[in-house]
Amino acid sequence: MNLAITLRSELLKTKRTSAFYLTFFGAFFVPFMELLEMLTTSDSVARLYADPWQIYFKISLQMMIGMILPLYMILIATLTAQIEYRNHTWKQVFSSPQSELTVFISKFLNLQFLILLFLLLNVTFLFLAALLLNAIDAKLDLFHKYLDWQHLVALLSKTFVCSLAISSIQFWMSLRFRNFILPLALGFVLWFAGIMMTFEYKTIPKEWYPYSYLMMIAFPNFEHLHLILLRNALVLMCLFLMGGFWDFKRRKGKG
Amino acid sequence: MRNNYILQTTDLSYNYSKNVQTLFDINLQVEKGSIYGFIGPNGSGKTTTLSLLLGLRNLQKGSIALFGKELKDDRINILKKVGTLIESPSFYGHLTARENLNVYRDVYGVDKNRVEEVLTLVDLSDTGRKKARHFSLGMKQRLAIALALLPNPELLILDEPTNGLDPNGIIELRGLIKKLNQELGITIIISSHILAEVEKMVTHIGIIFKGKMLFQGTLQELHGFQQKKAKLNLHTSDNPEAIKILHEYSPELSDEIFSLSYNSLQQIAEINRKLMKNNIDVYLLQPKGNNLEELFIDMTTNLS
Repeated sequence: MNLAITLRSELLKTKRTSAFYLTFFGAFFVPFMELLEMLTTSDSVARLYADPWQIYFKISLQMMIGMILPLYMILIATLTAQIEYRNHTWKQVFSSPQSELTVFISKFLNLQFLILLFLLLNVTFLFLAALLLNAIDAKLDLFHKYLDWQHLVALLSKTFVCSLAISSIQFWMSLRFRNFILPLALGFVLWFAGIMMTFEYKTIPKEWYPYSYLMMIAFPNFEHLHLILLRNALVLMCLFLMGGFWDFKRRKGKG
Repeated sequence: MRNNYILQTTDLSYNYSKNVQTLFDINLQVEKGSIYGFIGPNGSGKTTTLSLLLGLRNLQKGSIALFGKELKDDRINILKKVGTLIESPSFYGHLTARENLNVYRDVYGVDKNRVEEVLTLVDLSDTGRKKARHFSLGMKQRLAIALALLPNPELLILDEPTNGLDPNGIIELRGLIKKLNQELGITIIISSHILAEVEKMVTHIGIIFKGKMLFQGTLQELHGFQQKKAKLNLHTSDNPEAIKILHEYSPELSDEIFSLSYNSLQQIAEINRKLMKNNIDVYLLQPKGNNLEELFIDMTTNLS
C-alpha cells in the first residue's frame, strides 16, 4: 500500500518532464528512420516482399534493442534522478513520511515503467509505420502475411529482462552523482565498451558484461547465451540494487 | 515532564568529521502551542539540528522525542504530523501549485479538499496552470509553506523561511505564522540568523552559537536577561568623582565617558539624582540601545 502511494507520487513527478518527452519522442525515432529509409531508397521495400513482417521487425528491432535502447536507458535514468536534484527536493522527500526503501524502490519501478512504455510505444509506432508502408505499396500485402507474435513477445520480454542490469547500474549512478554528466559519461563509455566486448574483445566474459547483453539479444549468433544472459541480468540487478540502496541510505540528507 | 513538550532533545551532538564537532549537547525544549525562534548566526548549527529532528541525518549522540515518542522508534508516524520547510523552498518547478501538492497528497493521507484549503490559506488558489518555476519568490515561499501545511501538521518546522523575501513578503509571512499558531494551534519552530526578524512573532527563543545553546526560554525571560545586561553611558563635569559616587554600580571608564550596569528605569533617575546632589553636571546620560539584536550580537561575539 505504501509502495503504491509512493509510486503514484513518483509517476506524478514525471509529468511534463524531459524524461517523459524523451520516452515518447525517443520511441518515435526508429520507426521514423525506418519509414524514411523505406520511402526514400528504391530497393528497401522490395527486399521485404519475401517475408515482410519478419524482415521488417528484424531490421528495426536490431537497431532499437541493440543501439537505441541502451542509450535511452542511460539518458532516462539520469533524467529521472535529476528531477529531485534540479528542484532541490531530496530533503522534502526524506522529511515526508516515507521510508528510504519505499522511495528507492518506487523510483526504480518508475524508471522501469518508462522503459517498458518506451518499448511498447516503439513496437506500436513500428506497426503504424508498417501499415503506412502497406498503404503506399500494396505488394507488401501485410494483412495476408504471417507475423510471428510469439517470437516478437519473447524477444521483447528477453529485452526487458536483460535491460534490468544496465538500468539498475545507471539508476544507482544517477542517484549517486548530483552532477548529471558523470552517469551519462560513464554510461556511454561502458556502452561503447559493450559493443567492442560483444564483437571483438574477450578480456571480460561478455556474459558478465551487462552493457553487451542487449547487443547479444538483438543480433544473431548469441542465441545459445540467452538463458545465461537472462539469469545474469537478474543477478546483477539484485546486486546493484542492494549496493545502490545501501549507498542511497548512507547519503540521505546530503542532497 | 516530557509530555509538556511537543519536541525535546537530550544531549544532541553531531560531528561531520572526526575532528569537527558541529553540535554540542543540544537540549531543545519546545512547548506545545508555542512559536519557538531558533536563532543563530550562519553556520552555528541550526540546519544541522533541524535536519536531525527530521531524521535527515543519522543520530550520533543524544535523543530526540517528538509528541512524546522517540523519533528513531516511530519516524514515519511522527513525520505524518510534521510540516517542514528546510533551507530553500523545495517543489517541482515543472508542475503547477496544485500538482505539487498532489504529489504529496496521498503520502500524507489527506483528501483533495485539503489541497484547495491550503492553497486558499496561502493565497495561491488562482494560479491555475502556471508552473511553479514561473512563480515570484514570495509565491514560491508560500507554495513551500502550503506544502508544509498539507498534512494538517501539529508541528511546523520552518528553516530560514524569510530568506530572500522583500519587506512586504516578510510581513505577510509573519502574519501567516501568527495566524497558523493562534487560529489553528500549530506549534511552530522557526529558525533565522536575524533575531529582529523573528522577535515580533515568537513566544520562545533558543539561541545557538558554534553548536552550543547560549539561551533558551520565553521572550519575557530573554527581555529580563537583556535588562540584566543593560548599560548606561555617562559623561559628567567630573568623571573620576562620579565613578567614586557610583561605585556600587561597577562603573567602567573608557575615554571621556564611563558606563555602568542598571536594572530598571528608576535606577537611571536615582543615578541622576545622586550626581546632581553632589554638584556634578551631567552632560550625557544615555541608556545603551541594548535591544535584543544587540544582546544577541553581544552574546555571540563574546564567545567568538
